Amino acid sequence: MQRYRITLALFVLFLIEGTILKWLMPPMWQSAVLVAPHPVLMGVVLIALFKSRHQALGYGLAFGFLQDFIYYGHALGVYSFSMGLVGYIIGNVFRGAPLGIVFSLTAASFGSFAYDSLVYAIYRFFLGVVQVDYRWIFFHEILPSLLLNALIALVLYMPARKWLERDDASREQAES
Amino acid sequence: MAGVIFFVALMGLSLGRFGSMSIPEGFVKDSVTWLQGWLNRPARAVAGFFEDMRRLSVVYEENRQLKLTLTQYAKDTARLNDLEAQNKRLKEALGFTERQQQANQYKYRIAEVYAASPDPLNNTIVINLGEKDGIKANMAVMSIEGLVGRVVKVSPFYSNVQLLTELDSNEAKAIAVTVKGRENESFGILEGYDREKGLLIMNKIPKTDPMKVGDVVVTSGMGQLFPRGIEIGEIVSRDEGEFGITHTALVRPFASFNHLHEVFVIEVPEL
Repeated sequence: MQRYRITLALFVLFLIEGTILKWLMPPMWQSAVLVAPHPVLMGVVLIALFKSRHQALGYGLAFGFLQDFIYYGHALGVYSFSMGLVGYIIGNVFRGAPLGIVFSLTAASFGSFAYDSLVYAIYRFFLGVVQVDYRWIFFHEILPSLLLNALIALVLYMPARKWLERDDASREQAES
Repeated sequence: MAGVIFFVALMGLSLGRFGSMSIPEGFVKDSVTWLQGWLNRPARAVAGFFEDMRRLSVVYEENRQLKLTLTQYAKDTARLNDLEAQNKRLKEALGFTERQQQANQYKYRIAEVYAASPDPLNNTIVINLGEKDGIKANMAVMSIEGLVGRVVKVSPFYSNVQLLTELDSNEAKAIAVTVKGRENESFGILEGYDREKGLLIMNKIPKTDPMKVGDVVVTSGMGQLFPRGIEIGEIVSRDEGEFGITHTALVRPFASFNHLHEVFVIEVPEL
């Protein structure tokens, strides 16, 4: 039951990502600096924190692949690989950490940073479709995106915590 | 490890594959994009509302300008008719072949933008025309301002457009261009995009070429894929190329590549 709900929520985030968010951001953010909102990735990071790293890996792979499909530009698999890997790593690194808001936001910022860097690395070194150097892309894309994504994670934090944790608690009660 | 191998193979195999999608690919894409289009319209309406509010003060001035333009337009129409008649006479006199006349009858298909890729390194937009509407890979796409990009992937009802900002990738195809007003004298090839400056890079310009800063760059139609005469941008600088044999120029594109509402897909009739 919960699995369907998470999938549906991530799917709605995915739809919003490519349509509404583009229109809500001022044009300056898409020309002077390249801000990239990743609500789906933030969802995956929260799943990695509140559920398990394996689930984060699964959702990351699936929704990354959806993004690969819908915006098929250069090659398939780039976003799927990055999102799955980032979800898994976050789940691993923050496994024992307390689930407070500070840790969650740190995890979200780190996730956004890792994801953008990974996508850049694949495009630059493996596929050869991007030619700018890392320093430029860091200041123009990765850093501003990180801030916006931390904001998105902040918005998603409360509902995610309520949903994902309550179900855990009820399951533990049922088990004991 | 197996995962890494799988993804490396997948990326390698799918790199630079153009054309139509397979059936499951097409099905997934069509259904998701349908939902996206459904969301995009209200989003645009909201964004448009705020824009309208901001522009209210400008409307009065704009109205006056438009009236002026309208009279100008009427004058121009008369002149256009005259020129058109003259052009027709001259063409007939020249004995243009059927083939050449055919080649210039382009069809402009208007398409709505349904979604845009959220990742700045992959500038792809999804439009609501597809295989069923006769869209094929490699068709040129423009907005009212100028050339925007090229169709790369087609599914039954929607297609993906790669924007000009992806020109610096290895597998994107270069575009043969020339200068407006001197179509037969100038030549160059657009084959790069400088992300840091936001300018297009034009290479292979002959040293003797008369093109200069401020000239308007248009497609030349030499590749037979793109129609001729679509405006792309304005030259902002010109200097010697890497090897000193040909010159390189930087071009500022006319079209803006974000917040696109509607675009035109240009169909070139088959010869």
